[in-house]
Amino acid sequence: MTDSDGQPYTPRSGKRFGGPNSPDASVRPPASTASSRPQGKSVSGALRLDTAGKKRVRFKKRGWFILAAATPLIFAGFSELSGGDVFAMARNFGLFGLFGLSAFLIRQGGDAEEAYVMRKYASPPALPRKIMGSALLGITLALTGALGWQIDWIQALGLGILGAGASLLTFGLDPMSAKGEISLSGVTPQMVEDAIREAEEKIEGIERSAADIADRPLRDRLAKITARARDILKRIEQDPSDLRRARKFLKVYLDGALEATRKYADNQHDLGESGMYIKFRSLLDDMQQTFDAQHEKLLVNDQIDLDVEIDVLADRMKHESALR
Amino acid sequence: MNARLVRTLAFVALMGMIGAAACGTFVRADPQYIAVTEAY
Repeated sequence: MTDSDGQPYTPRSGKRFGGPNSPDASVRPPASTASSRPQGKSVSGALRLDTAGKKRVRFKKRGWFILAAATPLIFAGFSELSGGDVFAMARNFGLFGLFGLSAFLIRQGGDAEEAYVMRKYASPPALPRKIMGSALLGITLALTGALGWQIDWIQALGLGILGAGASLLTFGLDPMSAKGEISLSGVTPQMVEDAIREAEEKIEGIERSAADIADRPLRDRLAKITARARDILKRIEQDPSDLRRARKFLKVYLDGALEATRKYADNQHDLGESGMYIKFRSLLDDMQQTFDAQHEKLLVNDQIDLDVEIDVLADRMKHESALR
Repeated sequence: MNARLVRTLAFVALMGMIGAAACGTFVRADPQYIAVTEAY
């Protein structure tokens, strides 16, 4: 194939990225970082550490090996089918399904544990899924031994108990207690966790509403504000004594930002470049500045209370009649 | 003993148990096995 100049046809991607078959191979970008970087293996094999420098959840991926080891059950199912025993086939497929469910539960438990490990303040997962998965694995193993393999019930029971024990040893127990220490200012881990979760929900609400706003500069501004809000949350998580000072700030500002963004997103098409647009933009400017200031103050651990500034902005929000 | 080694051994044992049970089930379901045992 040739293009209009009679040159061999080269797709645009070839021109842009300068592959070995691209025209003008002498003007090539330097070797990509991907090739100079060590292979993926060394990256994935790297230690993953949590904030306390401890190694993160291990063996999570091993859950899927359970399914691989149980694969002969599928062949056994087809074998039974060819022998005309539908019930035995259903039993074997069912046992395989139970192994799959155990692997799924263990993996879910691993995910929950990882989320727990990553946070400084966290309550334990609502369901101990790793333990449930290990127990189910033991039961399934006993059933497979007794019904499929047709060994003694006593032996099957032993197999199940051993299997559950080995699974618990491999995948570990779920976290059972709430994490995080009570700070000197009397802020409990539960308070920090609740405040952060609530604030996260509001930030996500702002992001959802912002996604509906057609005007890109406004969206960018909101993205900056939410990023800054997340920085503040991180800061509070690091130093919970900041929570008392930041709580009112988080409440007034995030509520105000959420409300204003929602209302603007709902009415933007009727407003155009009206005064409302300008007001909303300047409100976002103010908000961004105050968020930055709050973050700055938390960083330097300044003792000056932000209450006055908060009240001023709260008043301003009340008076933004166009947004109400 | 090293905790990591214990975990790995437990994992290998677990895979062995599941594999044995699954393979045992497969052998029991094999028509040839059934034919041979019935012949005895």
